[in-house]
Amino acid sequence: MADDAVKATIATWRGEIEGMKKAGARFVVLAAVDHLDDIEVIYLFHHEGALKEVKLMVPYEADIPSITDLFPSAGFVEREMVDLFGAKVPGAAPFLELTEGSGIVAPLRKKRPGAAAAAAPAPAPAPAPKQGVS
Amino acid sequence: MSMLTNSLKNLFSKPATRLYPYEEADIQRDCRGRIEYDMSKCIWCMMCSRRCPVFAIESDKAAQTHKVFRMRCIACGACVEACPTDAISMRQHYQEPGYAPIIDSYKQEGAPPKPAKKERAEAPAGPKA
Amino acid sequence: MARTTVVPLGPQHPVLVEPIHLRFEVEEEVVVGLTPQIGYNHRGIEKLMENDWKKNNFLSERVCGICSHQHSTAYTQAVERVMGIEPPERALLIRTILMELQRIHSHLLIIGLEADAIGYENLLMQCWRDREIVMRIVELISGNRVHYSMNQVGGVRRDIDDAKVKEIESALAKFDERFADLDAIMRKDPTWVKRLKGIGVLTRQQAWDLGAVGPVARASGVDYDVRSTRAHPFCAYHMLKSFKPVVREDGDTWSRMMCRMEELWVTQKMIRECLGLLKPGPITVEVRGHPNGQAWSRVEASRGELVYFVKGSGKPALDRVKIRTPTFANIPPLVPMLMGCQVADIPPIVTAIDPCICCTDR
Repeated sequence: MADDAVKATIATWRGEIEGMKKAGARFVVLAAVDHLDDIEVIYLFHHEGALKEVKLMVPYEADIPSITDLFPSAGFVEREMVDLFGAKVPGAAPFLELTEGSGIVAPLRKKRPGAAAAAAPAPAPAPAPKQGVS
Repeated sequence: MSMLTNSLKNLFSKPATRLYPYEEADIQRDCRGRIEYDMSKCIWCMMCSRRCPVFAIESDKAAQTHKVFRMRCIACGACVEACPTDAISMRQHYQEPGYAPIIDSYKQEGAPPKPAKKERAEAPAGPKA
Repeated sequence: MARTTVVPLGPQHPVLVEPIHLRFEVEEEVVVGLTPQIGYNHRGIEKLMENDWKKNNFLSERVCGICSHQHSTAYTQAVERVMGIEPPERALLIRTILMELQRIHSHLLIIGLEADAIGYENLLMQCWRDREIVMRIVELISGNRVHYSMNQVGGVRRDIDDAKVKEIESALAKFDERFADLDAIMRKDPTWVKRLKGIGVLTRQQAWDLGAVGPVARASGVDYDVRSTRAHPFCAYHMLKSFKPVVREDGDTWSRMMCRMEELWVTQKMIRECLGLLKPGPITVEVRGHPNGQAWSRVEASRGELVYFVKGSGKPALDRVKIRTPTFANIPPLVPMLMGCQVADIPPIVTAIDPCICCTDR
């Protein structure tokens, strides 16, 4: 539960975040929730004992600009959103969490992009060389 | 006390470790161990296998058997709390490591007892969906 | 111009307890660049938690072995907030007692590991021997040394009777002497002080900007402790008068470890106060239905602030569980801490943030 939740659109969202920075709030974490075709990003800030949320709902194809210029502590968690959900965050920090090319794409989404969504988690089509392990 | 005094004191006192397995392990009372079934009370509501977080219990209602994969069990006690007739209990037992999976099988002979009318949160009227 | 060598403190390293890749660029003996890379311990726990909300108590404990009860409390609290359940007071006090006992064992563990990182194995063994007092007490209370499994949505699963209360009090009495010894050693022992003072400095502005939490932030002067936010009380901290956050100003490695040592004293007082406040009563309330809604839950784990986000929609399966662990927030501050330090100082600095990489990678 948060004390104050603000639903923002992509146009007003940047203004809200800058308002938080001006007020001296501290960025805690962001949580990404999958809504099939849209992604809902909830930013949580802590300001003098109160928790404030800024919610943003965009389709997966839209860009969610990075907030690391205002809050450098958001770098890791934005990269995690890119790796686990396949969101597009231009300007996100460059270090990797999941290795590319492993065949697993956006594991936390319910409708996986590309591969058949209804298939059970099948092994990657080009597995690493196995030495006789059945 | 400085570290030097500490070390000298330790040098001349008895060791803090226990030579397990040559000495007995020092287990507190109420320590968790392994689960056991009292098959005379089981009414086949299947709550134990449904509640197990690691799928360590396989129940077969037609064959009237429960199979417990002891090496999978994490001794959480969820099955003990879920059972409405107290057919499962946890007893203290220190499980030694081993090479093979240990499967405890419990079979119920004869017909199961009738479920008593109890007001429990999970009082079953037959297996729920 | 000096050449830069790349030194990987790779996933496998004798000083690291858990796998994390730190890629250093070094010129002669001085670190000039650092790139951390995480993800070696990723087990997909957030996805697994979407299966059944009742079994997640046990799964959230197993995110980490050292802060397992704190994870379980954070999850349980989040679900209780979604469902609007208030656990009884005795359950909150028992949860608090276990959280603080966990803090004692975690701080003793990291003081020992820091000693091991500088080669002081004697102190490692002393600390871990003292930790056994706590392990035996929690085995008495909960039945397990590591994963206590004491929480359930609505309260706790086991009660502590008077005999157990007496044993907890006698264990705390043993700590009077042990903590005094440890305190004296950490303040005056020349090996410890000379090795750790002045290295790994994190200034207050850097700690605030990069989002450091826990003793790492409090040693740099940022007064941030979840237990002091009275607006959102969790467990029984709003009832305790003996809580006082420990804040130091210097921001170096020695301050971080002293922060933890002073927290051990405060923790001992808090457990005694909790034991005094215990009154007879129920330990759980009945829970019906499934969680429908979303909630945030923050807990002060031994390493810092732990945040859980739970969203359910009225079914046994949850929609989303998001975990932000304290070490996840403490790894970006490693970069300014390690810049300009000697290669031989890397192990003590990295160990002093109390890295729990299985928490980071979930």
